[in-house]
This record gives sequence, C-alpha cells and structure tokens, in this order.
Amino acid sequence: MTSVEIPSAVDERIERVWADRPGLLGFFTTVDHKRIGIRYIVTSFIFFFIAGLLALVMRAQLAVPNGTVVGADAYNQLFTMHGTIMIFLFNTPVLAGFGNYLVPLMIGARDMAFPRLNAFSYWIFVGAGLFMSLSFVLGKAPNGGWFAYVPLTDKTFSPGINLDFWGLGVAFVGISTTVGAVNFIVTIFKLRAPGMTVNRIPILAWSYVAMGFMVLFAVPAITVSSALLEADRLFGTKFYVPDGGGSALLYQHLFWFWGHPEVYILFIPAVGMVTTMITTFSRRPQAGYVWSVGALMGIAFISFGVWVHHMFATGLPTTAMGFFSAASFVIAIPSAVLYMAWIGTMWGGKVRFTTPMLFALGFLIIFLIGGITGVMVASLPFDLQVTDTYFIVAHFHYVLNGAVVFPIFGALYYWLPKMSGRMLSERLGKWSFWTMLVGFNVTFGPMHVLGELGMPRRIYTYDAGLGWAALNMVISLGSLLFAAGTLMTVANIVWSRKHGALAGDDPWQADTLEWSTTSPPPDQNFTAVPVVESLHPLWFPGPVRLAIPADVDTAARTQGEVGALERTTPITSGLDSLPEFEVLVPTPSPLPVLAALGVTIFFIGMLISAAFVLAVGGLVVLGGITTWAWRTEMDHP
Amino acid sequence: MVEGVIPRGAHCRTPLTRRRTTSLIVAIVAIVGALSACSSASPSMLDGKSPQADRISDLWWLMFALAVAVYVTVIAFVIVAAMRRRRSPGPDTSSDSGVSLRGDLLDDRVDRRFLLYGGLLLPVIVLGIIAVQTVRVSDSLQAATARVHIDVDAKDWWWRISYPNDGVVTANEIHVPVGESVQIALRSDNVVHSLWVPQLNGKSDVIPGETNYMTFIAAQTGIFRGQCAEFCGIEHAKMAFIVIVQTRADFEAWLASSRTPGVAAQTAQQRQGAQLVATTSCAGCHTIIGTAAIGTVGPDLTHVGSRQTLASDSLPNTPDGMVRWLTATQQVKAGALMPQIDLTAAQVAAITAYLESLK
Repeated sequence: MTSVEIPSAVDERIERVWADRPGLLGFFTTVDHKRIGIRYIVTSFIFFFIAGLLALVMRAQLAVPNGTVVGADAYNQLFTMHGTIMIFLFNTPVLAGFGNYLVPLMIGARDMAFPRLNAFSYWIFVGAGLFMSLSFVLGKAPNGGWFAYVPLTDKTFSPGINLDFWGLGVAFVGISTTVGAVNFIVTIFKLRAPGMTVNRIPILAWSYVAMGFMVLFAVPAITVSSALLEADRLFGTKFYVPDGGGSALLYQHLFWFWGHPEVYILFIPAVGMVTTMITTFSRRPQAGYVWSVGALMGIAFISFGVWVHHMFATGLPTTAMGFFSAASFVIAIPSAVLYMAWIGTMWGGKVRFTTPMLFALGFLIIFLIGGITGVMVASLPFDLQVTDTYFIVAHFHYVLNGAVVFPIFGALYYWLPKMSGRMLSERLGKWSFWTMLVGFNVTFGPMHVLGELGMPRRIYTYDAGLGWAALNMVISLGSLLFAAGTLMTVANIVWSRKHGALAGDDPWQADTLEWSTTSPPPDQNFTAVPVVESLHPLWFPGPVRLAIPADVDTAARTQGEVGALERTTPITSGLDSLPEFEVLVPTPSPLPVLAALGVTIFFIGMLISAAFVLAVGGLVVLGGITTWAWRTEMDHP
Repeated sequence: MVEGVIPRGAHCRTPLTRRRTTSLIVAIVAIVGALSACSSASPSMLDGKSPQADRISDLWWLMFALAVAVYVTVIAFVIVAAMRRRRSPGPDTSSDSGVSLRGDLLDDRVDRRFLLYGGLLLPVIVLGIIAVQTVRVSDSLQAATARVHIDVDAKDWWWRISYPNDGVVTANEIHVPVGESVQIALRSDNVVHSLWVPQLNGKSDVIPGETNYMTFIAAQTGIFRGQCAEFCGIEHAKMAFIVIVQTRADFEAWLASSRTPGVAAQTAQQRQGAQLVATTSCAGCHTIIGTAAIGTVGPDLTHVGSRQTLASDSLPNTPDGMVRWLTATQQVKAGALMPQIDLTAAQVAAITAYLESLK
C-alpha cells in the first residue's frame, strides 16, 4: 500500500501538457474524452427534448378522435422524426457520451485509445444531427417512418427530398457510431490500468465491449440498406424494385438485421449503468459478476438471430419463422440472469434509496414489463395480432424509454457530481423520479390495451366510434406528466451548477476508479496511474494503490511499476493487464473537426446532387485525414 | 443509527407491500375490465369471431396469466431485497455499513440460488409453456382447404376486392359466408400494406412482388372492421374496410346481384348524373360496367350504391356522405389520389343521385 508523493514540479508539468488550448480554439480542437463525453451528452439531450416535443404534438393530435392539431402529412413527419431522432440522435449518442466520459476513468486510463478519432466521431454526430435537422427548417422532414420501408420510400412514392435527409443522414451518423465502437473496444482491451485483469473489468466497461462488437456487426447492415435505398433514389438502380428484379423484402431483412441488435446496443450500456448503481447503493460486491458478463455477451450474440420477429406478418415460411421465434424466447434467459443478479446484489446488501438508486429500481419495475411483453410478441401467432399496433408501441417504449431512459436519468444523478463537482438536489430528484415513473406508466401502460382493442400504429386520426378515445386522452395527459418529470431534472441540473453541494471525490462511497480522482477530474484523469487489485478497487483491499510516475523513480518503473510520462497512458496486456509500454496521447488538433466538416459537405453534396460540392467535401476529408495520419504524435507542446 | 433504521424498515415493509399488491390487483382488474368493456365498440382481438382469433386470444390470456404471476413474484423479491436492510440515502457513516468480505462470502450461496432458480429454471419453465402453446396455436391457424377464394389488391389508400371465380369486383367491403373457410390472396402493385381484421385473424402484410395468403372461418354473421396496419403513406390512417359475414344464401344473393352490370339511370336527375360521370374526369379512374366509365385506377362503382361506406370507411354511404365526399374530397381524406373536382351544387346532387342508385 504505497502511497506516492508526487513532487509538485512533476504535477505542474503533467497538468501543463494535458491542458487544452484556451477559449474557442480549445473548444474546437479538444480531444479530451471528458469534454467530448459531456458534449455528447448535452447535444443528445437537446435532441431528446426536440423529439419529446414532437411526441407531445402527436399526443395532442391523438388526445381526441378526429383531432385537428396537425394534418396527415405533418403527423407522418412527426412520428418519423420522433423515432429517428430518439434512436439515432439521442439514445445512441447519449450512451456514447456516458461511455466516453466514464470508460477511461473507470479503467484507470488517461484518455480513449484514439482521442482524435473520438473528437471526429463527436463532430460527425453533430454534422449528421444538423443535417437531419435541416429538413425541419426546410419543412421537408422525412415522412416515411423511422424504418423507411420501400417501396413507400423510393422515388416513385416519395419524390421529395424528405427521404434523402433520412437515407443519407442514417448512413452519415453510422460513421460516428462505428468509429466510436472501435474506440471503445480498443480502449477497454488495451488501456486498462495495471492489474485490471479480465475478471476485474467493471461491468459498465464490459457493456461497452458488448455494445462495440454489436455495432461493428450490425451498423454495416443499415449503412448498406440506406446506401442501396439512396442508390435507388438518386441513381435509379433497382435493388428494391420488384419489377426490376429487386426485392422489397430485402430491405426489411437488411434494416432489421441492424434494427434488432440496435435495441440491445442501446439496452446493454443501460444495463451496465444500472448494475453499477445497484452495486454501489447495495454496499456489497456485485452478485454473479461472471454470470452477468456472460449474459451480456449472450444477449449480444443471440440478438443477431432474432431480426425476423419484426417480419412475422410478411408471409415468410413458418418453419423459418419458428427459428426466430425460438431465438426470441431464448434471449429472455440471459436477461433473466441479469435481473436475478440485480435482485441478488440488493438481497445481500444494504440498500440506500438515493435518487440514482430510485431510477435503477424504476428501471427494474419497468423493464420487467417490457421484457415480459417482449416474450409475448416473440410468440408468432400473438405477434400477428399485435404487430404494428399500439401494443408494440407500448412494448418498445417500456424497453427503449423505460429501460434505457430511466437508467440514463439515474446515471445523470449518479455521475453528474463527478462531471461538475456538484451534487444534484435529492429532493427535486425524487420528485422528478416519481413524476416520471407515474407519467411513464400512465402514458405507455394503456397503449397495451389500445393495441389489443385494434388500434394500429402510425395513424394520425381515428373515429369516435371505435372505443379508443378515453384511453387516448389518458395517454396524452400522462405524456404531459412524464415531460414535466424530465424537466424537473433539467431544472435540478441548472440549479446544481450554483447551489449544489460540493461533491468531493467520492460522494456515494462507490467502488470504481472514477471515484478515486477529483470531481471534476483533472485533464489527465490520474496524475499517478492507479493499480487495480480487485473488481471493486475502492472497496477492496483498501485505498487504491498508485503507480509511481515514471520520472519520479525509474528504478521502481523497471520493476513493473508503470507510471505515465507526461502526455502518455499505459498500455497493458489484454487478459492479465500487465504493463507493456506507454503510448503518447495525441494532442488537441483542429483536424477532426475539419474532417467532419468535409464529411458534412460531402453529404450535403449528395443531398443536392451537386458534383462540385461533393468534390469540395471529398477533398476536405481527404486532406484532413491525410494530414492527420501524416503528423507524428511527438510534436506536442 | 443502525438500531434506528432497521426497525423502521421492518415496520414499513408490511403495509407497503400490501399496498403495492392491492394497487397491482386494482390495475389488473382495470386492464381486464377495460379489455372486456370496450370490446363491444372496438374491433378487439380479444373479441374473436373466428376460431383463429379465439385461439390467439386464448394464447394471450395464458401468457397474461403467466405474466402476472411472474411479475408479482419477481417484483415481490425486488421489494423485499431492497427493503430488508435498507439505509438512509445520505452518506453511510454507521460502523456496520462498510462493505465486508466475510458477509459477502456467505451471500454468494444466496446469489447462486437467485441465478440458478430465477435466472435459469424459472424462465426455462415459463418459456417452455409459452413455446409449446405457440407451436400448437401456429399449427391450428393453418386452415383447411378454402371454399371461398378472394383476391385483395391493396391500393393507395383503399382495397380492391375481387371474387375471381364469380367475376365480381368491389371495394373496401369483403363479403364472406359464415362458417366456411375463406382464403384471401393479397397483392400490391404499389407500397407495402397489411390486411388486418382483429376479430377474424392476425394480420398479413401485402408486399409488392409477393403474394401472401390469409385464411379464416368466420363463426358468426355480422360486420367486422378491418384496417391497414402497415404504414403506407399519407392516408394510412384512413385505409379501413369492413368484412360482412352473411349466411350462404345472403352471400350467394349478393354475388348474383354484384355480377350484373350497373342499373340504368331512371330519373332525369340520375340521367344528368350518369352523363356527368361519363364526361367528366370520373370515368378516367372509375369503372361502371355497362357505361363509358372504364377507368381502373379507383374503385369500381358498378354497385357503389349497395356499399355501406365511402372512401375506405371514412364516411357512411348515404346521400349526405356522398355529397361530402364529392365536395370536400381533400378535407375528408387529405392526400387521397382522387382530386377535388370542380362541380356546381346541382351537379353534385345529380352525381350523388346517380351513384346512390347503383345498387
């Protein structure tokens, strides 16, 4: 248990080489995973509230039969953009943001493996987000559903530019997701602190490994599906045109080959967050760690074999569909394992009812419903009745809103003190939680019933005589309650900036490494690199041991003590996490934002079919990335 | 603090659990009540009118019962697990609050029990039951050889219904005889649609380039509402239809009357209407057998007067409904492919009189 005194001269120098450039220049050139992570979260939440607002307009329209708030086409744009924004511009990037911020801190690294790529990935997300938002400004938002089934979305049936925003935007944002996934995988495999052997990796980091691999295998499918769609639209190819030898069903297969894993891509990091919070607030080691990691990997794997359950009504052969029905049942087993691990952790622990823990418990209450209805819709005959009805809308909101957004809100309460150094109000947090919990269930619970009463999805209006009116009114009122609950958390965050109690390093007495550094952490995260001796390093065996910085004691370093020389981070072996060498961490650079700008110009060129714009964009990307690859990392200040 | 907390937790546990159980039961009763109470007005899948829909609804009630049992059990464990040794939310300062290795080794056995019984055994049993029932219900949905064959072509945004063996074509209204196996062949030459009559069977997508089939046996006479279930563009919401289940004799009579050409106009007003239909843009899209109207884009109007609804169940087929459809086409169904035709009130009345006479 050697605590290291770091001479202040070394300390100052380390801080100097890690500092960002000041002002606006620093804003655009930073490669600090913490700044990028927070930025990801803030940007995503802006999209969350935009998409939420769209949902409220839809609920206003549907509150009464024959509503007149918006027209048919406007409504179609609303639900298309609500789904598209929530999936592509909120859920996916907000989890990338938390991962960006937390993964390096949790594994004791000083940054992500590829910090500039990380910045690039964020700016691509911003570019794609603005690209898709542009469609609103022009009043030509995509209106073909978030799934954009052909032939409705081909040039014949959707001649406008609306769908091009979708088709190109989806491929665009996919670059960001893919790049981010590579970064997570490499970071977690190679940048773990010395001693963080494979059985000491925090569950949250494991969840990002699982997510990363899923992204790598799933996202190409949607990139291909939307690229072929755009080829059909822009160049007149016939991939999806039955009369030209293409197949409309091919699109559905490609889309859902990504689409179902995507649900788990969003869900698995949320599982990591919930497990982390439950462990901390149960004050005991996580129950069934190995089981839970296995379950995450099992879900990641099986999720690639269930996509056809979105297509049960398409008339595929029953035998083939039976396979997918079975796989969809089987995926419930690893989910049950995870669930039991949560119960087991609490059972053996002493639970503290903090706001983040309440959100985790809310997650348990909601996710169980979403999981159970998930099993129901895996049953082929039942799915033939409920698919494309409000039952499905209810089901996937219990999963994607309840089981992903609740953990994300919990994570805000849990980790924001680390990010900002200030605690959120517990009182307001609990108000927010209970309002959201009640609002959520009042909104999405009755939708199950509506679906069974025959109400299809994606209809902008319905007749009074169908017996759907009362429940729709309840749902619309519930949605206001839910929205109010989310706004309370926003108010809480704003309030906490000035008035929140100081958090200190470890306000929750938590177990993982991010709590061993200051709140907010210094630019370099850890001045001296921690050495990990258990799965819960802050709990066992005691205070975290710090490695001796290299330039303090070279003798110790040769004995396997890895510190980090200036702007470096240690590289360790994949399984045993033995120190191998140190890598220089790239310095702030304008190249990522420049390259992302080039990509944006390129996609705008595609959108308006302008060769000149395309060429400019292409050249900027090429120039940016070449320069980026050319420069050696040694020329940092 | 320790002494203060544990009894408080113990004290709270019982009433809280009871209150939650009560509210859960209330919720379940409310759901079941809502499902059965609304079913009279709604095209509810749980209000089956065919053996196919009944079997699926039985499957639902089985899954619902299992779901309630699993949910109540698991949430009870969550509540007990969270409450049994709960602490105050603030920073934990009590002496026995620290994380102890010894206690955790003891807990390991409990953990494993949760994982084995709750994580593996329970789901395998429940999923096994559902899987067996799923296979049985799936098999039973394969109906016997059909006696009635109907072709349904999904259009934007209406349904062309034809009886190929009888030479009958109509729109948005499927007539079937009661108690007989019906097979519907589904085709689309435009976008993907989905045919769904919740009270008769699950839905079947209508996909360009493919032919899908739906079978059912309607168990009682009556009118059952159906609707397109796959998003298909601007008027997806108004692409409904009705299934009219009749006795064999009524069905035969309907087929017979539907085979005849359109009746000739009788009154002067009807004749004026017939003239207008033949000479304005109506004839470009609609067919009235026996007249100059031979368009195939829109619904066949040869017997439009005998149908119950207009514009895919958007309006009742009454003279008022027809007038509204002709004078406010794009308000009734914005984006409908039928344009708003410029007509005087007298012309509208004439066309209405003529079309309503086409029984």
